[in-house]
Amino acid sequence: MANYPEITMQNAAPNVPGLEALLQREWETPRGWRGVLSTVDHKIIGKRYLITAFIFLIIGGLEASAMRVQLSRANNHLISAEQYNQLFTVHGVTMIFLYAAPILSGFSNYLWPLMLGSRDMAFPRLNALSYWVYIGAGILLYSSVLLGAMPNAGWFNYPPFASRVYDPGLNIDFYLLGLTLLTVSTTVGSANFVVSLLKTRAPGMSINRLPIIVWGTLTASVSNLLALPSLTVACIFLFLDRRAGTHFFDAAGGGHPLLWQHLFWMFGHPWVYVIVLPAMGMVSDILPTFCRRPLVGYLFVACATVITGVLGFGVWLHHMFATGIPPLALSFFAGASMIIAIPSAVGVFSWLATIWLGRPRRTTSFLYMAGFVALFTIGGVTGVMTAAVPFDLQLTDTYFVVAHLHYVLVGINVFPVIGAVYYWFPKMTGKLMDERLGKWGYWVSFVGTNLVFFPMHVLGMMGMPRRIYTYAAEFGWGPLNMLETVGAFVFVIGMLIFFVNVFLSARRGAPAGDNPWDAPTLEWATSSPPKPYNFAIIPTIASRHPLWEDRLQESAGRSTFGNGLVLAEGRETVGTSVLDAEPQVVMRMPGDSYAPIALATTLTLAFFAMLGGSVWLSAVAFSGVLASILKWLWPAHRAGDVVESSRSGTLVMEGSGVQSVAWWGMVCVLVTEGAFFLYLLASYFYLASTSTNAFPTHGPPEIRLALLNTCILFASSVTLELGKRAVRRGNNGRAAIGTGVTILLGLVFIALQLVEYSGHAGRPTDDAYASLFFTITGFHGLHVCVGILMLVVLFTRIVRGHFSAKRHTAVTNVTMYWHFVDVVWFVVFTSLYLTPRL
Amino acid sequence: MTLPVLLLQSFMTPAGQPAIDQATLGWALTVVAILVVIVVALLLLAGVFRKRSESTASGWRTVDDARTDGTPLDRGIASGMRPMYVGMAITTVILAATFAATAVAVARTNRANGSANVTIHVIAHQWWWEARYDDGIPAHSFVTANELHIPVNGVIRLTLSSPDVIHSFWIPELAGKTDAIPGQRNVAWFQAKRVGRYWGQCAEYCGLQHAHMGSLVIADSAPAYAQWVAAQTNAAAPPTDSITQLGARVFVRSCGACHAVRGTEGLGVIGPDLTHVASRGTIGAGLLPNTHENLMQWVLNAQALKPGVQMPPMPLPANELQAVVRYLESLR
Repeated sequence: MANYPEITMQNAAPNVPGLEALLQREWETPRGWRGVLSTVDHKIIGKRYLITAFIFLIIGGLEASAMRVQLSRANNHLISAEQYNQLFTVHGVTMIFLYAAPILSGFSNYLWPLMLGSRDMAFPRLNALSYWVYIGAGILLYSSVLLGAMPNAGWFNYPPFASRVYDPGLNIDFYLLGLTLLTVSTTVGSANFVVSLLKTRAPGMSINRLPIIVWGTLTASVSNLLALPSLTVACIFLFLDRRAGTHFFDAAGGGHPLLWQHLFWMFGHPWVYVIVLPAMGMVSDILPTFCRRPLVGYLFVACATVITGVLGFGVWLHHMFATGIPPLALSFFAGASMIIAIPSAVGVFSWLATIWLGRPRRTTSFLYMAGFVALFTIGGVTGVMTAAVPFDLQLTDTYFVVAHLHYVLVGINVFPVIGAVYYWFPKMTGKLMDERLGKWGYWVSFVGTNLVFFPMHVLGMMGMPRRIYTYAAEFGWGPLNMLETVGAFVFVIGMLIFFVNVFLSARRGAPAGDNPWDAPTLEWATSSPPKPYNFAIIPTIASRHPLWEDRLQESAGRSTFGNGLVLAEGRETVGTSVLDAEPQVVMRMPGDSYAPIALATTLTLAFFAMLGGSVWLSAVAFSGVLASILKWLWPAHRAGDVVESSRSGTLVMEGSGVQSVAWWGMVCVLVTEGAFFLYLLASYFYLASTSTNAFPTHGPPEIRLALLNTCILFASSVTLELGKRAVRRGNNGRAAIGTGVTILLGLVFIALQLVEYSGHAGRPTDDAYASLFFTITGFHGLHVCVGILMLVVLFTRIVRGHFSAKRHTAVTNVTMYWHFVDVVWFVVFTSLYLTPRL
Repeated sequence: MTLPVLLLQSFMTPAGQPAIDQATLGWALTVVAILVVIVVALLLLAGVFRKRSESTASGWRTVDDARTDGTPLDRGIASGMRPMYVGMAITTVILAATFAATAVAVARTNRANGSANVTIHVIAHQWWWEARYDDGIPAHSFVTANELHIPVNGVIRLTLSSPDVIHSFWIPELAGKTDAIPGQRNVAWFQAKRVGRYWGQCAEYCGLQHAHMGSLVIADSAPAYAQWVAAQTNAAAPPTDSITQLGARVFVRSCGACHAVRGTEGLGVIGPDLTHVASRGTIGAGLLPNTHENLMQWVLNAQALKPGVQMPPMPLPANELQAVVRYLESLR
């Protein structure tokens, strides 16, 4: 931090005349449809996320209400079995995928740049893309309503029930394609959060000063990058099983139904933390404001957040205790699942201590947070109960688990979310929400929640299984079910009061001012609502509570707001170093763009085409996708036109390598791609271990061509590396040669791969081994093809002179990608060609 | 002890092993869970509502006090870590004890004490249970459906498999769940400690009529069980009067492709074996009591009673319907 005072001196501009008007012109979203379709403002996107997710919450709530009416008494036939099965499936999918995660993305999208002291996220257009693809996935999933063929195999979608034999309609295809499309949105959004955190913090916003919601969303985003590919792999496998006749989950063909469960829960359990950790972060950030003191144990809570995310990857088997698991594994996963309660307890004690040691102002927002602590505790202890394997064998798939998961999801997601709306609504709109209505809404919701979900514990213990559309009177489950249904409608009334309050307050709420709660964090230093550029002058941060510094002894220095980096030559913000947030580069931010919505639209259409099973329509739509990507990535100006330095003196423009956001973005892509191949290969070894037949079916695959291909791919990495170094030395001629040779070698690789396929003993539809072999090598081949496309673009741009010794981010990134594909091939080669020979 | 009707299918009132060990662990955990929730709720309520002393000299200073008196919050007081350490230590102890109890219970419930007295191969179908009794002697082996008689105190070994989708076998008062998974054979065991009837139902969502895939385990005294086995191993009683003789012909013609009655030409394996169907208390996998009227309705149009079931409507003439039902009722 020692070196940036002189930078701020160079940019010291306490009163630049006309600065705000200049920034306003630069950052403002245009009015009308143009702005609606092209904006990349994180605040607008964040609000859209929130509103859309709330709409899905309402839809999911209506589905739940219908089910509650059906279950209110024994032998009820208001809803048919098929309707009920579709309802509980879509209710789960809606709440888990279309509400719980996106609502938190909404808050984080809105808040991150404001909390971190930046003008936007690291990749504003990706942010827009993430939202539009989310909409596309929602439309795709819900278009199933029009055909009366909503998914009906549960949100967990276990084959063989979800296979074509037992579920021949389009129901499951909607599920598989909808979720795969949604993973695109979530992956893109997660990479954006990770890179935004690493690179776009205000000077001095070191990692020990981050609000806890940032820790929560960061952990969730990293979890997403590592866990979502598991869901993608599972969905692709099942789609191929259903449409192409492969045998991944087909026991008769050498596959195994449990492969789906391993893949699904490998994703599913981390996802639980994805949809609670950011919400818990909001609690940790909001409670201190109303308790009028800093959070007790910030460091513990931040670490507990990250540790929970890590442990979340080690407990997937606790969803599968009844599938016939050896006792040692049962005990191990029981232990792991209990250990995860420790970081959760850290949170609970931190919140209790913060409340105890503070002087709570009992606002509506505070009540929701306090209610959350109670509901979280109930959901937590029942979680430990379900981790105790012998007892879980009784609890699993009963209403006890329904009670547990709703205490977790309503308690840890919905309550903090509503409390957070009460808290940040004034920032977003400049208006306060009505407190009297708010408290009514809170108490009605709290009573309703417990009325609907608490009796489910008892019903579970009385032996009521999940997912039954009706039950016989003899079991005695009727009265409690009726109570729950009444409770459900009480809860609905509580939620209605909240929504009414939002509408009324948006229209005629009292003016809020910049910081109505006297809160400590950076977002409250902006105006309410914030200007499009967030901060006219990039603030410099000196402590965890920038707005309480006069009242806490946290650090020697003071945060500064009126004096710092200006950055107003176009859309600019500052890029800082990863750990200490020292300013490194001036980031030139993209303007509003139609590319995100074009890409999202073509991608959604491509998925619809796949749903319809039309190869030609899919091909057309995917060409549209490709065109949108090229349009997106093609530089708006040539290298010569770009200003290579700015007024900021020691700060470079954009930067390259680890200084640039693009480099980190590529790292995120490769992390998630690496996980994708890891799950593919894990599936291979899993089916190899469960197979009762010869595996590989016809002996190890022919190795000579593959060996030659390995050499070719390694050689291509060398030629590309030489090309990259030539770019860095400014030698475009040599760079073009290096890239060109790499393209040729890549094409030879693909050609040889096709030759090998044609000579292969099996076809993908023969059995599970052949399905795996062709799918894994096929996906690798696809990556080589994508790499070749990127190299062609790169080659063209090198020839056109887009790069120089200082500007070569694209070259570095493509090289990194190509090396990655190379490494993946080495692992694939070892797994598929060498291990069967051992 | 007779159970109150409210607890017809509750694992908290077990009647055999391993359910007793599972419930013991369960009750202990329930008590601990309730205590933890009460303690946290009291701390929370007290934290929110307790009266604070007006004195700011103690540790209760807030940022508002700091603004009023101009003295920043002291770092030590501001941190307040001690209650957290205490809470985390207590939590860790409770969790360690829970894990120890769990590990012990895993070991206890994993295997039965002693070798199996009866082996039953349970094959789960959409949406009923096939039960193949197998004691190694072909003459003693027989097939039945949905209702499993067992000897009280006998150790019952189950193998579980499925030819279609995943199901889960569950008799709450006797044992927790074990999944029946295509391509995999799982093993479970239980042992009833009291004579009685123990209800259960499929616990893994398996499609349209997952709600109506019930099972019943009937624990008999040793003599009653031996009698039942003897009756089950017999082939079906031949029809004795003209009505049941007509019924038998109708059965072979209209039902025999899917259902088997040993000793007749009806050899179907798609639906339940009906050799001794009249000895069973329910039809449709626990859906309805096995009465004359219900049987008539079921044969005529099972789809109306259990939509989606594999059994098609059988629009038989009235006399044939009456005859086939009479025949089924003679299969004791």
